[in-house]
Amino acid sequence: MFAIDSDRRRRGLALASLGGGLALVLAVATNPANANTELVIVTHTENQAMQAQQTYKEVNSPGLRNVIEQLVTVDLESGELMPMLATEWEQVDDLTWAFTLREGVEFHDGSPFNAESAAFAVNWVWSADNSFHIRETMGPQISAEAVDDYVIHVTTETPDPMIPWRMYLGGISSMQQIQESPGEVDETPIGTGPYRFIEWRRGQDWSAEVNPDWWGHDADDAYGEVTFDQLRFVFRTESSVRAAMVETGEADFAMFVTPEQCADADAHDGTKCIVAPSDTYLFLRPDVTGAHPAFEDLRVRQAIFHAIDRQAIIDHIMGAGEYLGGQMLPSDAGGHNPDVGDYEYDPERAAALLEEARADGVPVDEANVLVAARVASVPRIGEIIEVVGGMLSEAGLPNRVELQEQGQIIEWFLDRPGPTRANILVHPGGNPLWDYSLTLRALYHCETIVSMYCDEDFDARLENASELGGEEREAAFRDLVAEIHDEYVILPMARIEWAYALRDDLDWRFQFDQRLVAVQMSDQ
Amino acid sequence: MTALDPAAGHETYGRVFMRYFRALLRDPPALIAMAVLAILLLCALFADVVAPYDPVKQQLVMRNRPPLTPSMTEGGFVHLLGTDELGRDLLSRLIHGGRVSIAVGLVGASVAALIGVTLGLLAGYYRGRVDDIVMRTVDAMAALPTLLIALFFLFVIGGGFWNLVIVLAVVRWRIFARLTRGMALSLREQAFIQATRAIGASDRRIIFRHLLPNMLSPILVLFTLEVAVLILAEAALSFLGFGIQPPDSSWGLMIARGREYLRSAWWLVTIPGLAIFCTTLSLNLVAAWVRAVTDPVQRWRWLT
Amino acid sequence: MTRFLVRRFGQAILVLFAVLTFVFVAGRMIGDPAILLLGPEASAADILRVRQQMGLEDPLIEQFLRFIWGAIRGDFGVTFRYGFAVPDVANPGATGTPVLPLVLERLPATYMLAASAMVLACSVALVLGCLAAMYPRSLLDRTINVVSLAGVSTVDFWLGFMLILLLGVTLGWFPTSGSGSLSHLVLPALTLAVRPIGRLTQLVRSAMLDELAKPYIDALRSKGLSETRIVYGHALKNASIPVATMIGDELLQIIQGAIVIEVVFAWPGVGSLLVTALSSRDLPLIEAAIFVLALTAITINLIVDLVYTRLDPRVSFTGNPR
Repeated sequence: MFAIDSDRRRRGLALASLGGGLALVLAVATNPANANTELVIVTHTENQAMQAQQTYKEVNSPGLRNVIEQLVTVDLESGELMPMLATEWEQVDDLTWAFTLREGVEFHDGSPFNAESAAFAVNWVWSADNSFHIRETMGPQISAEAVDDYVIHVTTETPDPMIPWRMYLGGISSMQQIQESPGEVDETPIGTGPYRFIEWRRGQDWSAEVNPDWWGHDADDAYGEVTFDQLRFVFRTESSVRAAMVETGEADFAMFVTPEQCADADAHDGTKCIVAPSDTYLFLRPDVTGAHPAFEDLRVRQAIFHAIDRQAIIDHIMGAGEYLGGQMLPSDAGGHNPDVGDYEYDPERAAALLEEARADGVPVDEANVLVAARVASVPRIGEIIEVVGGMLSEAGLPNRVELQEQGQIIEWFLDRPGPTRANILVHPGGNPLWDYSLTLRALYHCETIVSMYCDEDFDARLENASELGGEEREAAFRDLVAEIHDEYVILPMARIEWAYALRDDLDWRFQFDQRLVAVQMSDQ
Repeated sequence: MTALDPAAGHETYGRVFMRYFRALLRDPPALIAMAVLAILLLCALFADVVAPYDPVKQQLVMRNRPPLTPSMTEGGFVHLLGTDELGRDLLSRLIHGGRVSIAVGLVGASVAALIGVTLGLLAGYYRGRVDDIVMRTVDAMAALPTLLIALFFLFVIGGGFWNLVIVLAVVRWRIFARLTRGMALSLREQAFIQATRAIGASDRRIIFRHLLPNMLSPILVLFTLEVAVLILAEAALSFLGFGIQPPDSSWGLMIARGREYLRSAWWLVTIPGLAIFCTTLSLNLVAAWVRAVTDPVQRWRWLT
Repeated sequence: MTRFLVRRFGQAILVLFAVLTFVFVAGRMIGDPAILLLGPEASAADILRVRQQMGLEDPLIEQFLRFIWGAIRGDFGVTFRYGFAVPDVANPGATGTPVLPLVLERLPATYMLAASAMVLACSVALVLGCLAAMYPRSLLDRTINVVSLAGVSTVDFWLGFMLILLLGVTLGWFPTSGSGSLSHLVLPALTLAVRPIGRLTQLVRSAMLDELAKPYIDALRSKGLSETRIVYGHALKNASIPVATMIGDELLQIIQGAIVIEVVFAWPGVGSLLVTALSSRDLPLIEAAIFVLALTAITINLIVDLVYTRLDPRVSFTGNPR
């Protein structure tokens, strides 16, 4: 189909090797289904909602992909898009993609899955009126229409070669439910997946049972095999409690444990730990355009970037994570530029740069620098910003450190920096598409909320590049990445890797973006 | 000390002190508690001198080391209680964090006592409308989950030392008001107050010269208890994330931050928890002792 | 009696009104609810539209009256935390989840936890308090005194972690967290009961000492009754009146303590819901949770006062009940 596919493959291989013990897991064939088995997964958060749009971000709604499926999925081994509810897809023209749907599929409420209901579901999830959070992963506005009983056309206003990948994010849920009982959409997911939703006991857990009518039971191209009769997702915010539950046998699988708990799980008889990469990266963002004169000065920003020992933060605080060097996405992402250098740790150079700026009259010491992050945005964020603050102080940039609640951070996002503001935000970002258009837009574009940088000329070239496909697209992004690198706007801190504690005899075919998909888990 | 024992007016201060001191010697738990409190106070006051390390100095390679780990630098002081998640000396953090916890307790209880005793005295002495308003408010607050209200208020205005102190004082003044009012009500009817009034003493003189001194020991007991209550409240609020905010630290926050290392670095949670426990237990023991030795019914047991 | 009742009810309603006013005023200080609802990605036009629909553009007094009227009908609006309910801009909240049912469905868990802790605390405190009072100044008395003070001084959530580690993980006697069976209840109830045990033991002891010093006890002794009969048969009955008056306060303390303990043990009660709501700044949910907890507290107080007036005939119906 597209040249990006070769990169996907590379990325897939990299992912597989990163998974470490996963290769072994993949080799083991799955057992036949056991009778009446329940898989208990303990998650770090209660689901925000059970809506179809929530499937785009597993961390907000763990496990939902067992109930709600998408048009396509990603295969870990090849890194390619694979059929899910759509069996084929192709580009019709610049603005249009055609998806051929799987026949004979029913939603859990008995309503048929066909072109009409699929188009409705796609429109619902990406709709401007709904303003769901999934829209943060959208390029130009997406709309869908049925053109045949089992063919839909997905169109955009401007060319968007990423459409099939975006269809991997948006969940397809029952049109009948949305139209007839919209009040239940938030709480009762109705999809086509291998598990049917049973109930959500708020504050405790939600559960699902096997769907006997799942299309994947007898399809050759199914993405897994059912081996558990029931699923239960239990919410526990304390990581120590999650780890303990696997150890005591109260749960089979714990999401997001700390590195120490991971080591404990490995040491403990009957449990193990898996560390796996995610689609989330942590970045550091100083105020730039329009900010305090100290931060508008390139040397001060350079000093900040070179003062921070990111490897030490990964090794000692985060315990796991991939060092990203000088650009946001790792080498297997589309648009990664191998010629772009690192922002290497060099405290002496940082101190010298600050001195130089001071000597030139830049009001470095009047900047009143604030290093902040949102409470619980990533594990140990409090420690991370304290260390960042400590490193900046060592280099000679006085600062204070503050963890802020969601509401305070939102105000930051909405305000543009002013000449009195010299804030540094340490924040996570996600890129489930692993393509530079999303990341560059989010971090550097004048009009996006996260970006504190503005260069209209850059924006124009970014818009152009986003409409390209194949090698042209990659080349255009490589240029943009190299250009923006020298502006010292965003410091990539790390790609986050998550640790999972699980029963020793549980196999998990780890999927991209830590999706907890039960058909890819089985007893040994 | 005369305030503790108005009947001892004819003795010298030294002799009164010795009598109490002997009484203290006969009550080992109270004696130990008193010593613990003295040490804690000294540590809090001279934290910079006592703490062997800079409490904010990070050493990432030395993180989560167990108690008694030798220092990384030549000739450095041993890390008596180990190091924390950023490689900072735990004993030094404990000393500096304790300063904040104890200060929240002392300052919070002082502000609460100031408000409560003033209003309680006014209510009990003047009665009438003042009494009505004060006691209605006290009753209303007693019927409410005030810690919950404090939690919400801190959520709105944000945590931090002074916000915490103010909110806790606002929530707890009623305890002092009720006690003071009760005592003022009964004292003002007593013969010696009536007599003082009859010879034309001003209200101010009566309140400050006669009412207040006679109330001091119960107020002192309550104050001691309240310091303990507020230290515990601070711990709970900081644990939930609405009290002291990093990079400041307190014992409650240390527990909150250390809890994800519960299995791998037990000292991070256990030690600050024990520190709070020892402090509040000492305060409670001392309060119980003061109450016993100043209680007219029980006093003879202790002071003879 | 009727006058007292009416007055007491009037007071309770006044207090509730004060709480609502406080919650309303403070709630307006935490940021624009429209932004909180829509998230930072929303456009200015969307935010304005939602502000209008939520009535945030109306005069403050109108908003306040609407809020109070909503509270009376049990309508605190829809949650921000659960779901992102603005699909139909013409009819916001059409698919939203009302908050009050969310709070009410958590209430039994909190009540169960509080009641278990209360029963546990009362039984332990009665035994310890009586023992201490029977042998005043003995080693037993002094030990119980220190133990009960230790209970009062305990950092309860810290104790919770220690119990999870020891009894849950290391020994495996009880589940580490959650709810569902009786064994799930043990650790949180125990943790929550420790401080009340301390306070109530002290209370029982001093009430019993007062009672045992009364002349009728000597009369009973001279009649040759056994000490156990005297203590448990006579003194305890009379000593329970002053203790009973403190039950309301104690229950209030337990319900407040439950907020933290529920978080530690992932107990699905109102407390853990409130903390979740606070951290996601879900204002309607916070308001409803505080309202329900305050209502609970006020009701407990009211009941205790009424029971007290029945128990103790010396309390006048017109005066202040305490």
